[in-house]
Amino acid sequence: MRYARSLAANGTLSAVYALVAFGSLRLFATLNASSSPVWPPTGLAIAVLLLWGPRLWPGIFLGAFAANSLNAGTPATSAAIAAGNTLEAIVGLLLIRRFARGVEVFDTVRTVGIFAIAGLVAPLVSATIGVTSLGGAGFVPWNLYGGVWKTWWLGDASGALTVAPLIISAFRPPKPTPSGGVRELGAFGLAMSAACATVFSPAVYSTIAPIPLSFTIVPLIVWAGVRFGSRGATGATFLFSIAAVWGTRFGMGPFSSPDVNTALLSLQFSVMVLATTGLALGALVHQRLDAQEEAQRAKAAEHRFQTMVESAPDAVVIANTRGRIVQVNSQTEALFGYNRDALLQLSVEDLIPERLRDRYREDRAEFQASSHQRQTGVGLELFGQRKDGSEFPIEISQSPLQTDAEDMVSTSIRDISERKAREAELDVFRRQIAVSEKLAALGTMVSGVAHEIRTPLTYINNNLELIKIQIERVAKSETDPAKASQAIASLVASSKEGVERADRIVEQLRQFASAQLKTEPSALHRVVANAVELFRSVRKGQLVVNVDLQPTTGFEVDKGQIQQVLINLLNNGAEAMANSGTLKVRLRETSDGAEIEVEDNGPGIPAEVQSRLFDPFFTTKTEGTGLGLSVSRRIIEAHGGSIRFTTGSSGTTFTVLLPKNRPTPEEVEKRKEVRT
Amino acid sequence: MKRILLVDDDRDVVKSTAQLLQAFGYKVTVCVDADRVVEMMHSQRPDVVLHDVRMPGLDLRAQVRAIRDDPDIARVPIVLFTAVLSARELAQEVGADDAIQKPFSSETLRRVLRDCEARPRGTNFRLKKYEQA
Repeated sequence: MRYARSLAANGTLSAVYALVAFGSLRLFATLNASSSPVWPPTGLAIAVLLLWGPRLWPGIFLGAFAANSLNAGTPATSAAIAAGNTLEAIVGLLLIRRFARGVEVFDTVRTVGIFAIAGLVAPLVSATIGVTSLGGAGFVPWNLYGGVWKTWWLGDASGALTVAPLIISAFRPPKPTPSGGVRELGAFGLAMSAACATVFSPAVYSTIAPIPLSFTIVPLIVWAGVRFGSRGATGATFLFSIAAVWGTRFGMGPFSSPDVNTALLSLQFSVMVLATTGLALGALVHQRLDAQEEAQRAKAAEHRFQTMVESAPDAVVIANTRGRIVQVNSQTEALFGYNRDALLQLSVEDLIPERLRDRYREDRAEFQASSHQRQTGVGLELFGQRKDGSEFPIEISQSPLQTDAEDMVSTSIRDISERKAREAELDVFRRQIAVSEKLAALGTMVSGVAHEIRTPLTYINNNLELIKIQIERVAKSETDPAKASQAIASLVASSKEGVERADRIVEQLRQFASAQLKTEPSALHRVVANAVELFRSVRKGQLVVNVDLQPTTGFEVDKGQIQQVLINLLNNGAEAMANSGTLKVRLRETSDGAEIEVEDNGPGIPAEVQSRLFDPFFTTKTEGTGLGLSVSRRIIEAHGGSIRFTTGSSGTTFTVLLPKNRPTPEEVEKRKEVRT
Repeated sequence: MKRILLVDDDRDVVKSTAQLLQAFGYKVTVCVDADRVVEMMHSQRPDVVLHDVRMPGLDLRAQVRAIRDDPDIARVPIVLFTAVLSARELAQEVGADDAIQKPFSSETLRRVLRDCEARPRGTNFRLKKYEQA
């Protein structure tokens, strides 16, 4: 397929080449049958090789060989001439590719200049080989060698400079397109026709012969070059060239002379100059348009960037690496209280409180060393300083900004005063919640605790009554004093036991209500046992609590808080079982901590509420606060532990995991949040 | 001599209260298991039941109803014997006759029991309010 295409391309090229070459020889080769002062094939060959590659050289060779064979000489001279023509095109191609940007040759004035030189140099090859071979074969008398060579060379060169640009710019129009429109093209066509008619009309040039009318074409070529670019210039040159060659060939116009060859050479020289001038102009126009477009793009980009900076939600400060502010947006003006002009006189440091500037400088150095986008102030307290000296909390993010001129740093600054205030409010609220949750928990316990304390009080009181009765009986001698004192001692002992019982309850209550999260080395099984005892006494008679506690020591926990968690879990379990049934509490030591399980045999937790179980304010109870589990989880997490549950139709088990290792500083930090 | 059925599961409370009641001349039977109250009321025929309100497995409302629904024992006064804060409201709510809030003075105990005795047997007397001593 590729081979076939190549063959077809070469065939077409050879046919076109042969046709043009044969026509040129027949029409214009007057000095010698094989040497024409008008030789478009050179331009055709160079253009084709530039556009579609050197693989088309056989087409040129065949075309040239065919034309020459049909025209004059022997097969040997034809072959030599064809070889010269092919080499000429290849030399032109190589020169233009190497020194003049290949097909982009007409885009700059410099490459146009190089193209003109290549157009003069390449034909040296063809002229020398062609004329020498013809001379050797006896077709050119040696005394005419110089004349024929000159004709050949100039013919080829003018062909190269006129035709190659026409073909190349036809297939590869330069962008951007110059400004001339269709109407202007029409006007230009009229002017061109008028000029050609005037210059080559015998009626005109014969009357005013001394005036070099041919110069009228120069402003037209300039017009074409300026308004229609390289395409316009080469097109105009080519059209003029056709008219001029035609006129001159048939003895009309300012170039005509009795010797047609001399006349044509003179014309061709003019055409070469015109073509080069037009191309240079076209290239200039192209370069200018290019520059304009580039400038527009740059301006648009600049505008986009400005808009982007201006429309950013945050204050944006762009500074150079020395911290000098070079650009800001109106948000910056509003945030810091300076106007734009004042800001552009400042350094970034001026927007930072004095006490933080050293840190900023270190930070900036570090940022420049790393040079990538990042957020600053996460976990740090950063502040900005307004013009009036007041400070406000900020969060900033920085990105490096590389420009042609220098490296810059773009900093987005966000005022987080409101957020901070909200956080503070939320913090207060959270503390209040924690307090009210504790109060609520206490509230539900009060009646139970009252009951529990009143029970020992009851029998202490009864005992006192009984003691009184004993004393009265002794006084009335109704009883034996020894017997009475024995009874009284027993009553006193029982009463003392009651006092201890009440005291124990008060102590549990104190632990539960403890306001501080204060960890201390604890025997976890005692903490759990205390919680269960407290729960039992509050819920006395309603439920059975089975405990299975493995002695577990060496834990740092806040006893009160852990008890609160267990009471919460036990309360939930009790309520799940409608306050009757059996709760199981287990404590096991694990490899890295302890595991406390609270199991009920209630109906399980419905699937639709499971995911929200630990959400604050989520509750399924009519009088619940919805905070029990959320507070419990916070307490456990503050201890570095975790809480989870498994549930099914036969009950729910909550599992609290507590780590044995001492908490890390971050965990201590977290604990402070829970402290109320 | 009046018979009292004392229903409570706290050993110390039962012991001291029973001694006190005996000192005041009552015959006291103790029941520490809420499930056995009806059965013991049948066997012991008490004149008054002093009934704790928080005991394992006890549904107080159901317990009172069970007693009231049993013709043999329906008219025995039930006095709640409790440490909860609102003893009298609770008594009214569950249909008991009266309440003694723990801890109690011996005067209160005797007054409540006297009121029960003063009530003609067979009348379901209204709840009266007693001041705490």
